Amino acid sequence: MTEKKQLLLAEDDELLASLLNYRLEKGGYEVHLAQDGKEVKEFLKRSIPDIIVSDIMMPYFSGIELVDYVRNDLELKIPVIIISSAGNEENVLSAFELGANDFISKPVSPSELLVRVGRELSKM
Amino acid sequence: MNSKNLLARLDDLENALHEFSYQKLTAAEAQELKDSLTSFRRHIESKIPKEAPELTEVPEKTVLKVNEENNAAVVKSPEAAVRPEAVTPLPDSSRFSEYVKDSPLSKEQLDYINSILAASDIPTRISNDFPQPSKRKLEKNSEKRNHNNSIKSKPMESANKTTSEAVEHSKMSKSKAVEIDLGPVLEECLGKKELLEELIRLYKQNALEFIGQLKIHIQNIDFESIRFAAHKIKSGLRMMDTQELLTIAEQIETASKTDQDLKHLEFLFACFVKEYPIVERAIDAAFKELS
Repeated sequence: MTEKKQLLLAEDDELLASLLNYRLEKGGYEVHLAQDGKEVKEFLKRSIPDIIVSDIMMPYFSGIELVDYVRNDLELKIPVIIISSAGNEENVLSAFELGANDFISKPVSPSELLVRVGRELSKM
Repeated sequence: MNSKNLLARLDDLENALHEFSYQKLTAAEAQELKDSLTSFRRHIESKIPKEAPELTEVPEKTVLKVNEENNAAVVKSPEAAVRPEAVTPLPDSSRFSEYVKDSPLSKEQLDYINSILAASDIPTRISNDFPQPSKRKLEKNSEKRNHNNSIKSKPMESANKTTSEAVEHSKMSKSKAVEIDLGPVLEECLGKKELLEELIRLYKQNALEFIGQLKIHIQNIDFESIRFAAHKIKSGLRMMDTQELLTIAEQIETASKTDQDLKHLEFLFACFVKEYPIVERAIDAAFKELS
């Protein structure tokens, strides 16, 4: 039996998080939910996921700060996918500059996210 | 018949029409006919010279030659002018052409009358059928007039608002009949209704939280928090395809970022609060439909 890939989903919108959680779990991932930057940091202190999917706009700790934290503080090379809303292109560019691997625009299609997650993990 | 007599006959015609109208037609239709007659009367008055000589001596056998297929006259309403077949019948006693025909007129008088008739375009054919479409049109026009009158008489509700606010207001007020299709969301839930139910519950919770947060942030004049709250609610509103609320949330986000006009934000907030129960009911109805 193959071990499930660990996925950290950082999304403070419960509604979207619930839907994505369900679909990602159905897609074969073990999902860990974090509702804000603090929870993300706490999780990353005790565990390293295989991939991170994070909203760009979160309380306490934005998606950009998260990428910076993962790449520069923790020096991890795990893939990070950013969820961004339309009109946030500048922030997306900043996230890419800091080392984000991909981004997906809102409204998020769970199916599309699954494909993107699978593609990033296959590159590893 | 001299000009005074002609006007007297018109009075009779008007009275007869008045009685007839209220017996057979709706008040709006009768008013329409009355207006038409008044306009016709004014037209005649303007055509008759004020100082015309009293025409008392008239040849006995003079007859006005008008087209008298049916030996009757009608008054055309504005609607009838659009639809030639939509003519309004008059009672037999008020047949205009008969009045004129039976009146001894001089050549000069006849010229006057003929020119009046030609100018007024009075059809001489009577139709006893009042076409339904024309009747509906009358009602519609009447409604339209009433609406226009109410607009004129009412003070501008949004006089102190900006143009965009007025546009928004009209947009918001149109959103009474909200229809939501939860089918695509259910598809995303892979057909799992329990999950959809949970999402609906979260949606409602988020919306109510948003209302609460926004109230506080507006009171505190905290534009950044208003913007953040509006931004966060958007994805849920979009997910459930609740376009009306999404539009308001987008406007709140933009307004808190750009013009930062508190009155405008209060207005948008009021719109959201007003719209939310309608949307909530629509969601519940849509979910029931799926069940």
